[in-house]
Amino acid sequence: MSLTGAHCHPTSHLSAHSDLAGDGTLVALVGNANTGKSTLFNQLSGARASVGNWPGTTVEVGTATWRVPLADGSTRSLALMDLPGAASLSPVSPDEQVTHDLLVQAPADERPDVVVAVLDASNLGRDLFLLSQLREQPQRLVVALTMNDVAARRGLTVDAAALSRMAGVPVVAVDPRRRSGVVGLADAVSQAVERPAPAPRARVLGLPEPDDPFAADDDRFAWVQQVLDDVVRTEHDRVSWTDRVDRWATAPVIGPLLFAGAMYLVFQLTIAGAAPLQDWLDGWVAGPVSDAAVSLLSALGLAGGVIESFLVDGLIAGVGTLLTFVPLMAIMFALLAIMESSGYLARAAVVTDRAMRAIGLPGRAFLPLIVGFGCNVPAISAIRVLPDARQRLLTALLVPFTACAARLPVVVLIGAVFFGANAGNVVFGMYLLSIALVIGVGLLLRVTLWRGLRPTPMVIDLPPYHLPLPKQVGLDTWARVRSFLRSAGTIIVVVVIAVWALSAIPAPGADEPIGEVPVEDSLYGATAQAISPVFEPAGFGDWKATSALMVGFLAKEAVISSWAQTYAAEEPEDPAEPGDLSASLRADFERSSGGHTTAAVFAFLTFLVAYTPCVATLGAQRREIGTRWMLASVGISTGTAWVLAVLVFQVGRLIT
Amino acid sequence: MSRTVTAAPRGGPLSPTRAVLAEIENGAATLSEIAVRTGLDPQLVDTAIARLIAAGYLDSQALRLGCPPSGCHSCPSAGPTGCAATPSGGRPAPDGPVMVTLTARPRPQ
Repeated sequence: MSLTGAHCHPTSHLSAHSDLAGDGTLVALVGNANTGKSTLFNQLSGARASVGNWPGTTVEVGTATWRVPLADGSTRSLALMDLPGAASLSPVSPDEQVTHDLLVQAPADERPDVVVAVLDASNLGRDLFLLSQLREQPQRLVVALTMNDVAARRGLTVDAAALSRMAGVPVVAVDPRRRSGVVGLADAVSQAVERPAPAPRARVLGLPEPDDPFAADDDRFAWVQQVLDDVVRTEHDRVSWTDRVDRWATAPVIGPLLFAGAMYLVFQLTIAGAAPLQDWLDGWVAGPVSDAAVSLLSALGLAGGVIESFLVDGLIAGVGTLLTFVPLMAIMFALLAIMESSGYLARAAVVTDRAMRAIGLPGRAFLPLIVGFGCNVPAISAIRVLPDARQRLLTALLVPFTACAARLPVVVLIGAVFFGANAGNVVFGMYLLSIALVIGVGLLLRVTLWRGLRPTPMVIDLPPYHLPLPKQVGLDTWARVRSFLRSAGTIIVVVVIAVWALSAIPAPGADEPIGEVPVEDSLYGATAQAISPVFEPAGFGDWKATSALMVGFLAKEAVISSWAQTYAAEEPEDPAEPGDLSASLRADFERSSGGHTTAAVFAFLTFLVAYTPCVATLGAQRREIGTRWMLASVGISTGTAWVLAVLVFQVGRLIT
Repeated sequence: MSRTVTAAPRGGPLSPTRAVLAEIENGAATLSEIAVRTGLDPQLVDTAIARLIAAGYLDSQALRLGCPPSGCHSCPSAGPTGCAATPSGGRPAPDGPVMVTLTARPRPQ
């Protein structure tokens, strides 16, 4: 069987090298992924390569014949094998297992005659570890040094002669893309074949402790560091752009301030950029869409009835109002995607983690909490990454305090209605409040119920900064907007129908028939009125504000739609008048707060951010931490929300 | 590059592997920070961490703003094959940040 077959089975003929293509001499290319190894393989083999699976695996191995020119003008044909990328000879993946099996496990006469170790000159600190292991094997070895141009651009110069001296093997600088160094590599391999394998390298650190599990690796690291010190020259003033930025972006004090500034900018750009589109959509939904629906229903003879009430006051008012927030969500998601794609968000992770650790919270809980700023439900599921049951429980109780994206439109609406151009500041403040709640409640639980919990140290491997990829940003943004729209298409429609139905059913004692009862006398309005006194100390004891919070307990996405629905139903004679919701909200807050509108609005926002996110989150909590702790979470979050809201209003009314 | 190799396993300066582990325990937040504190080459630190992950002393997880990689299948946005809230079923970007944490495996002195 020839190695150039479509599906080669290398081990079947490794035991008899005479069966191999060429003169029976096997040369294997070994190296990390992305070192240019396969490019070199293609260059050496021309168009005569084939790829097959390693026996019993799905790992692909390239094979070919390498025609090496000799000094007398003739050529020698060698069998060439492109082994899969391997970071070391200690396998942690099927790819590395194949390399390990052939170079370490196989009997000596089945191993390659020469191994060409392909090392990336710009990543020598990584690739020399593999060389240190290869030099422990009784193996003929040649080093092909690639990516020298990349190393030069990074201010690194690799002394190939010094590397050859220290490693005890030939080193040839090659650039397979430009075919440079290929002849030198062929010469080095031809000569290596004729020589005996060099003795394995000596230990650097002397005899290891007998029970030291790190002894072998430490010796390799020590050798690698020695080689780096002697072989690589660095232009000391060449500090990478990423390192320069990171000095500030991950600094203990400046880092958090920069992150806060970046988020402030995100919210300001979001609000300013979305405002014209929102206004246009609002006018379109409240005007032409509602008018068209009313005209259509009139033409069908259904005007003024239950169907018009449901379609115009319910679906169009509810879903339509929420849809006006789509541009806002899209802009914010796009800006966050840009931050993530550029690599900056990972730096934010570092500074946030440092802050969490400083107050004794488990660093690893950072991941679920970050997820929580998107949606609390998957964040609760993400607590499974935590190994400690107490950490999982603590994190599950903190996740509801992270301000999920569903709360954003409500805060933006309130910000726009009550603070106009300063709406961006209000949104930014909401996120700061959310972070403060996570830290504050976390600290409180740590010093009470979770005493003795040790924080878990965590390191973040930061990618270099790069320009955001428009396609990735676009896909990210669209996926999140689509998710938002799906919610609008499912939860909100269900809630709108439920609110509409409850608003049509008279409360006990009401005289009006079903469908003709005023909202405040309906089952919906009566329930909200029964609860609303609870919020009087917080300044928003109005039943309509309470009804929004009731609906928000089910799903925050539905708050705006139900609000719009309630106000539209309250003024059925003019459901399509833009601006009604704003004016009604202002009037209601002013009335319920006794004139301290600003204090009441801040109290309402505080409650909105802090109380239970939605029933789906409760379901996830029940699944992960049990019913008892789920109920405790409702108590902690709602209790905290109420106490803080009352505090905000009572202090606020003194100063406003 | 001029760095000091300190590799005595016991009774002297920490060996490279122990130095990396020690700095993680001491609160180093990034690989660069570990490299600066240990005096080791940053790429060598990267390799040491990969070796410690393979040996079970450290754990790694891709970090992403959004849903967990497999999706949770429990929110209204979850599709049948994963999480609709993130592209590609929530798979992290291949060049994105990675979170590395200590595992419960006892560490040799």
